[in-house]
Amino acid sequence: MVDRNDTPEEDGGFANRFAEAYRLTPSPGPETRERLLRSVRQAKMPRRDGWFVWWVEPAWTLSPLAVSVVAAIAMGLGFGMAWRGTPAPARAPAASSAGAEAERVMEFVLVAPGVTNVALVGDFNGWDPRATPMRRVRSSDTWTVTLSLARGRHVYAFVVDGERWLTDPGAPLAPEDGFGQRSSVIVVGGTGT
Amino acid sequence: MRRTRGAMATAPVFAVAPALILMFAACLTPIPRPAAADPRLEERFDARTAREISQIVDSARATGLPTEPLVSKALEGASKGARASRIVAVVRAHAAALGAARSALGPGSGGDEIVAGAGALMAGVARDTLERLRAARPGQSLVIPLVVLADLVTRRVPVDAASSTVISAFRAGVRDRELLRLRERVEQDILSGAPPATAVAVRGRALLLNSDPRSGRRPSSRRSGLDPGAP
Repeated sequence: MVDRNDTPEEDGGFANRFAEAYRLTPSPGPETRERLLRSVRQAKMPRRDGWFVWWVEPAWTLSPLAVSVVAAIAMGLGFGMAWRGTPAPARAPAASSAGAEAERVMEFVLVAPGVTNVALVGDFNGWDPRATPMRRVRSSDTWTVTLSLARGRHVYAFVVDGERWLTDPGAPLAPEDGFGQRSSVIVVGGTGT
Repeated sequence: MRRTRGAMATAPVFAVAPALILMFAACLTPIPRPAAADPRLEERFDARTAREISQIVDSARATGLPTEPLVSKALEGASKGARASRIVAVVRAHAAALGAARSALGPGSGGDEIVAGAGALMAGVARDTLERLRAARPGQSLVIPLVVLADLVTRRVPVDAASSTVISAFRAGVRDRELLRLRERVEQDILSGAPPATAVAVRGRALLLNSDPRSGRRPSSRRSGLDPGAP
């Protein structure tokens, strides 16, 4: 490039001569241009060898439409897989659960003199004292309730008058529960061997 | 230089491929969604506690451990009025015990066995006791032996005495009903004032003698004041 400020032309001769020469350059005709392009297309490119030649010298091109279609498919696939891969908030099967046909009817009995109400709580009713109230047997001190339990190991306790927690005197003890209370254990259908 | 209109149409693949790859990779990345807590946890706990417990439950589920005992433990704590931090700590400890029990009992163990094993471990039973029980009778359910073992230890029977008694009985082919009967008799003896170690030793010896058809001897219980044959 020529900096015109650094090369002042006293008479402007060079610039005029250059402009005149440019104007006089003959423009190639359509036939010449076509011949030139044909020769360029037919010229062989030097080939490179290697595993990644396709990356720097691709043999094909993509149109905007093709790019859009491929991107849409990729996004669809990605969202689909992402959705399927996200863990569902489904509840895992209970450790002690089994089929409904494997349930057994169990009767719980507690002798508790001088109390007004007794409830059975355990892992089978979410430890909810309102879920399984026990029934007094003919104005006696005996309280009882019958319910179906799935086969397996269950932990339970009795709640007396809504505040006192008692274990079942006739059942194995569960280890200390971490909350300062004891619970009992029952194994439904596990003593047949 | 002004780009011609068809420049994009002839863009080489290496100009588009990286963008496509990045887009595809981004789409494949799972969208992080907050884990939905068990509805029972959401009912009984504040959002933060429910989330903490759910994270423990999800971790257990991811490793194939039974999760229902963890939810149950949390609900138990709530019903007993325990503080939220205490409940989270107990649930976490319970999850660790479940993992240790499965490791000791073997990957093929059932859910009830794992839960019972965790209970035994939390009662103070040694991990190798679980391994010895599994090795004693492979394929047999360990739920009752583990429940009985945890009960005995909870009743202050020394861990070694309780473990050796239950392992010996299980190895000798004692049935579950007899093990439960052993537990009842030990409990009665303890309530009657017998030292727990003595009670389990006498009752265990009687159980082994009675279960061995080759042995015609009856246990001598007069010395300890306990009658092994008593109900």
